[in-house]
Amino acid sequence: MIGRTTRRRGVLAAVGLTAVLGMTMAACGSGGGGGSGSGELTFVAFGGSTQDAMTKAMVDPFAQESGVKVTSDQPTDYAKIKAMVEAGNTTWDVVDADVPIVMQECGTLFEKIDMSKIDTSDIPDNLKVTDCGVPNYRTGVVLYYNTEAYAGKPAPDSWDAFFDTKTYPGKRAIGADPLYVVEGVMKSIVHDNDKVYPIDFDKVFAKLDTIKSDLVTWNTGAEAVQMMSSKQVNMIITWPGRASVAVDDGAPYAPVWNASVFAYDVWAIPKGAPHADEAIKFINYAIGAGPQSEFAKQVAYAPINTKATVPAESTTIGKFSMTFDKQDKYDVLQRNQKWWADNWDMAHNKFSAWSVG
Amino acid sequence: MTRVTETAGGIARREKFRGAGAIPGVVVLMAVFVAPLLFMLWRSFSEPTLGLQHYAAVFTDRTSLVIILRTLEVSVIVAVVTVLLAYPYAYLMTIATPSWRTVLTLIVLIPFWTSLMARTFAWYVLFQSNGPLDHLFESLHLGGLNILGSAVAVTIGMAQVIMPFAVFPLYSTMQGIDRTLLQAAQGLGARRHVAFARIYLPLSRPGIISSWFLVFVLSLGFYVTPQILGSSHNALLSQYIAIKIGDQLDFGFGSALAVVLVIVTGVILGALGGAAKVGSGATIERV
Repeated sequence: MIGRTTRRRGVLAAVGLTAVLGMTMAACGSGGGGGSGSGELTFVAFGGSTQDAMTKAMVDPFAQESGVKVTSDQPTDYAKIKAMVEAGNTTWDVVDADVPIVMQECGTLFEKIDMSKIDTSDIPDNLKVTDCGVPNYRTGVVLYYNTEAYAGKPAPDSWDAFFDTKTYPGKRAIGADPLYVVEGVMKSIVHDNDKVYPIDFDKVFAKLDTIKSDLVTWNTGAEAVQMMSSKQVNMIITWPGRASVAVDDGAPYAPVWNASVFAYDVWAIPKGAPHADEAIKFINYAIGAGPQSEFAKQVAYAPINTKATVPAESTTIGKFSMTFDKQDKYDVLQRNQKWWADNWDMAHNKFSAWSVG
Repeated sequence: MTRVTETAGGIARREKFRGAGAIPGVVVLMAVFVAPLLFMLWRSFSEPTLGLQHYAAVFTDRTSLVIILRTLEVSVIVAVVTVLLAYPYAYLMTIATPSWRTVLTLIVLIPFWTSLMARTFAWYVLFQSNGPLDHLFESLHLGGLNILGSAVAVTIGMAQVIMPFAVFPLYSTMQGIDRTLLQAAQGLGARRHVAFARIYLPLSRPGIISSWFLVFVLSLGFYVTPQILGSSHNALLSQYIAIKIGDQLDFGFGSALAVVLVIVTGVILGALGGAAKVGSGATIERV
């Protein structure tokens, strides 16, 4: 499941629920251009609150300033990109994409990007892992717990709490994709960030099996929100962008930062994109401190640009976003994107064999 | 072409003309259905290299086999449940007054016209723990009801979506049944339920068979309902194909899975269809 299937399906579900809203927003995205310049660009992301934030913070102002007419589409779909590239008819110009697939398909499904045309100086160097992608925002998964259910108990403080059903009883939810599950489990086994990779799937599944009767699965981000809003689970591993939405609506959950996996996405240009020059202009704009700061105000994913400002921790978004300072304060695991790129199929085959069995 | 007589020529021309009317439909089907199907078949043999490796993988991969069998099992169950629910409903439609019949038809069709996504999420909310059904069961002292993520939830959700496909074939068959036969049977001393079981039920069999087949075949391809109401340990084949193609970009293996599903379905329909024909032949004789 290259990247974010689950997120993508969440998007699909969300589209179903808010089809009209989505169309309106896509229309807004395409109607932003007011400048005198020319050119066109088709922009694609995973939809949902993240794409809304991108539209407000990056797409609309870019269209306004550059005069490029931007059309938005969603969600990022790698099978669709593959079909477009094979048919020699690519219509997408810039996509929000997962790092492992972009690494894996660099030069085949994605264009190598001329980095000399993009100012990436404010992006940490260790995040620049592929010639085909420019880091665009910080995402990842975090363990959340129900503060009402565990009131009076010591707050869960590590991945171990996820498996401690004696102290913290009740259902726990995981995403239906190894990318959202296995790193945390592995860390609860090895207790050392440096030993998490390579993931030992046999050990991971054996550990998960110890709490199997308490495990439930979410397939879509919308489901994850629903599980939290209706307090169906006492613990859940999900994305901060979704968790913050549930909490904003009154769901009693708090993040466990010591049980988190920090990662990031990239902007990528599908092979044969008709407006690659505009795509590069857009990327250059969207990773700037201004748009990145605005993005971080809209959704609980953090800026990739170290000069961008982040919302105060007193706000829900500020409390939930995966800012650089949180990775300094807590025992945060950084995703090894290269490992995922190299082991994608193996990881997904093993995970589906375990989960459907 | 040699004309035998004027009349035959006329008929041939008319036949030809009638055939011509089907051309747009045939062209559209060839372009949007047959061509992609053949393309998918080709990919299952050719990607990344020519050979049967994907088929070998399907039949040696425990996950694929488990999911294929589960998909068939769920589809059989959904078809049985749906037909059992639809049968009395369709029967009620045949005996209702015309205005009530309209109401009953609308009751089946309105959910059908509603967005699948909205309906599926409605079931999601109903089924979840702390949901309305859970509370109802608790207040009736029946214990909680927590079926979200289970095969039961998937079956209920699918049966509701697919209900019209069972109700209408049943209704159209039942409408054609001469109800005076029942009166005749009762007149000859048969009790009501005997008359129903011996006369009405056999006569409605073609409707039962066609609606069962229709529901069974449609169930094999469900994606949204099991995705939302089920959980990964009861995933169906379409979900597995979506993982393989959409997420792992393994078009070859995904295509092979789809081709296997088409073939297995064809074989089952062929076998059951043959059996049903023999069965209905016997019925007519008995009646």
